[in-house]
Amino acid sequence: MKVKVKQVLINLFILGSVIVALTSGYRFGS
Amino acid sequence: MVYDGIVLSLLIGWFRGGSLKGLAHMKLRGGWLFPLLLALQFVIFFLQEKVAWIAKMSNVIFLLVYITGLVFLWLNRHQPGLPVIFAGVLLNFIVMAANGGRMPVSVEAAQFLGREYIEALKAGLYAKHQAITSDTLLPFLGDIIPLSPPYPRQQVISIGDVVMNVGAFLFIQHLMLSAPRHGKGNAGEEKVTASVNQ
Repeated sequence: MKVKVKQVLINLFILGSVIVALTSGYRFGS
Repeated sequence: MVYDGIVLSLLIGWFRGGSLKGLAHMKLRGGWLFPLLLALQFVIFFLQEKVAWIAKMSNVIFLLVYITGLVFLWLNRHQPGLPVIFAGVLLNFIVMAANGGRMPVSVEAAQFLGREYIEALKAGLYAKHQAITSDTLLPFLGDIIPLSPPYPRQQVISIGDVVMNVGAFLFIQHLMLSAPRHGKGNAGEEKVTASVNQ
């Protein structure tokens, strides 16, 4: 179970990275 | 809008009876690469004022980041929602490539962010962005959509950003709703808990 929670968090981080890295929204340079 | 779309997708997926466990089954080819691309952009952002060659090359590096991202998104195109994310990133890449590696931002749309941001934008202090001028190509693909109050996180975003978030929404819905359920498990019980908490 703990392994699954860890995997969910890792995958959310990866998915978040996809969006944050390749998005273009202007605020403070992000 | 950066991660708001993900949070919204998780909430909707949950209310639709999906499970977060489904995210454990996400498999992206080269998924490890995206945090690296993000880290690289942070490095550029923080070093551009200190290291001259980084500032000079930042537009090229940003384009390379987008090309790399596009290649790996293309490798994952068979997954639901990923082609839509690819299309959104492609729109952002096209307008950046057409304008020397910078994302054009509408000064008019960014007014509500405050003078500090407008001046920084005009001065070109943020390597990834530049103000839209009469010389800008394909300005309609730039950051022209203001997310202003009452929206809680003020930003100016592009059509590509919107498309990307739609893709992320579809991908997360697919993952959450295809989560394997064991016995009476998860979603049903979660719904009951939610209604009790309300």
